[in-house]
Amino acid sequence: MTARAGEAGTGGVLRIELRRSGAYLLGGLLAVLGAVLVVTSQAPLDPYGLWSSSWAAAMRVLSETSIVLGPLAAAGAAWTAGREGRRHLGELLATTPRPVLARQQTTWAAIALGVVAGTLGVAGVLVAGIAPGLSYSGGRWPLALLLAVLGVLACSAVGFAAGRLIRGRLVAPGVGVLLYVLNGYLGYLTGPSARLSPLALVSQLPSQEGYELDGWSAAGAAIWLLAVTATAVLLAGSRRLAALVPALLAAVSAAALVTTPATGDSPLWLQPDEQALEQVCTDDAPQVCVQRVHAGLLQDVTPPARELLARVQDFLPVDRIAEVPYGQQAPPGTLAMADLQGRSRFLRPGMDHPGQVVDDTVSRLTSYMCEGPELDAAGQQPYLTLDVAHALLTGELLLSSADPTAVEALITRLEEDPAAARAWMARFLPAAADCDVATLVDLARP
Amino acid sequence: MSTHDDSSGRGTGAGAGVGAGSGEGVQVCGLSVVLGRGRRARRAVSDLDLDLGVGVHGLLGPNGAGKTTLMRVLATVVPATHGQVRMLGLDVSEARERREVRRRLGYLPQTFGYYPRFTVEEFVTYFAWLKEVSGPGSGAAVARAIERVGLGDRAKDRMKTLSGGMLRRAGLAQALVNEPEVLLLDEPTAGLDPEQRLDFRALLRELGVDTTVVVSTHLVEDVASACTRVSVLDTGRLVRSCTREELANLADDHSEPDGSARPGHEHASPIELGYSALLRSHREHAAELEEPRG
Repeated sequence: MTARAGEAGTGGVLRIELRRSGAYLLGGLLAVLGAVLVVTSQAPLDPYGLWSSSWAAAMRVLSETSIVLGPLAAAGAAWTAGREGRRHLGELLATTPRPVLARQQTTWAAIALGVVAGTLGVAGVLVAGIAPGLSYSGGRWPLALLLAVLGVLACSAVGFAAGRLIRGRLVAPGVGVLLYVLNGYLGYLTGPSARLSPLALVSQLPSQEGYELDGWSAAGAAIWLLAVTATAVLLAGSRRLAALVPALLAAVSAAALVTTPATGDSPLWLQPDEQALEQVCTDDAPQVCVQRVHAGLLQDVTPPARELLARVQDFLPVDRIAEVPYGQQAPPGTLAMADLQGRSRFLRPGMDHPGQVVDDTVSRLTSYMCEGPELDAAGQQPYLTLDVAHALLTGELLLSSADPTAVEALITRLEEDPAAARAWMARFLPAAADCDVATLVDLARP
Repeated sequence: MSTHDDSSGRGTGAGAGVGAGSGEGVQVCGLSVVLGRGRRARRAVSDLDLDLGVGVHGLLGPNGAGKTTLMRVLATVVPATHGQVRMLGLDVSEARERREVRRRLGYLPQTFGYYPRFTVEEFVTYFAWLKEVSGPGSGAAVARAIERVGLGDRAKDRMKTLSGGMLRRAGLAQALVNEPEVLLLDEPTAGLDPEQRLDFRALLRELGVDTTVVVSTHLVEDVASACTRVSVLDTGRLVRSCTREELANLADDHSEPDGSARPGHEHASPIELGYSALLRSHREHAAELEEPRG
């Protein structure tokens, strides 16, 4: 006699589906692929992809990664949904009393559990990456995590419906590619049509330190994604009439999302988070301040920041240095420090290259983006001043300009005469800020 | 001896279209089924009457006779174009009653599909759930169905590891898991080896004690050894419904005038000869009816 079989309840069948529908495999694949993508988008594997130390950065990476996770989930779900057709089970299943919807829901539930577990696995890697350097947990970022999971889930539901309703082995890869292209297209829209970007199921989430998700936008996005999911699952369950209800809800929420204006100058869906931008400062002078969201980096950044401040004080009337968001003016008496976003270590507290903040701060202070016929006529001459200014402010020679000999000569002359150096810098900084090419050319003369 | 009652399928002799009808088994009245649409439309079943009660009923007929279409109608997969189908006293054209019929129905289609990654036990459990067999006894029902088809020692094996005959038995297990009152088996012995066929026929006889079992087959031996009654179909019409003994008695009509067997048919069984005689007579009769029109 065979061992007693499991009960034929929905829970038992769900467990069977989890084992046999490929849900475990799909979840594992999403988790591993997602983890590889997020880790390789972090230094040292990707020197330009720094994302640790804040929820906003982690959620940005999760959102970007979901442009791959969503279509993959859709393709996996479509493949599972198409198994009845591939295995010629349609006729036999049609003779069973349990409604098609119940059957399809149970299969999709298994897929959904796999998809959610896989996406949360990726989120887990991200959270583990940011946790050691995390200083601020406000900003409603868990909502972004929820929306990212719902987005991947919605993709899987769309794929499931496609696999169920359309016959063919190419449906699974086809729906994956289609969703990838569609989400990517919506995400990269610019100009007025960019208002359609929130309709992308994945990779549509904005995230920026110093901002928080707008509650209404997040709610609208959640309704949109849930309505798309419900519509797809009902269609897969052969409930076309019932699917009209969530389809209508999806249409209404989509309309609300694309017509909701942004808050002030904030990116769509975001609103300023003043608490995240509050200054956290050293107790002793000279004062070094960072934003609350980067408070964990204050200890590491303080020594090089003070060193820089000491040199800059020779040229500018500043007595403190503070992190100021890019594009904003520092208050009087304060040197604007470069943004610390994404500068913390991965999986460890602190930062690896605090000196880089000094270079970036100086670059921000001295670099200029000028254009026009006057600058074209001047050739490379004005750019010599960049190396000179950098050397005066940091004590390090860059020699990146076209005429290093001229730069060295100028630096030597100015270092020998501090008063001349101060006068040079006093002319340079406003000229760089105002793109005064004539003055910059004059300052470049040895 | 008459070999043909009524080419319309509404037989008048020897219980044509009516066999041990209980009123609770299967009643088919004036059934016609048209498959396809437009130019591709094809009448697969024409004006068919059947009344099948408890017992094992064989559906015999050549390829294209309409056996599988009739089975699919009884399985509630294909709707009737005309006529009425009642099963277990319920009208299958009504959604609510059809669902109740499905709870009490077992079906093994001609082409049996399965999920290869499922184990036998998981597959049967899955179908028990689909047939709304639930509660504390469902696990025992699954085990009993698997044991009944002789797959107890393979219950934990994946479906993809089973031989063709074992797959057929697993298919039968899913059909039996809800202890059906009507069991429809389309070519159930296809793919079984001789020993498995003997076991299978014994199982059919056992099931036929309290279940309406309808077996569609082109293997006359299945009918001879397992079926109590036989319905012969040709070109979508019921040729005759009778007991297997009555079918065997028609063998005389298949012999030469001197009583000897036709050349090449010396080793045929009486049921095979009776079946051939019935079909030949039916076709001759149909041709006679066609001639005046021509």
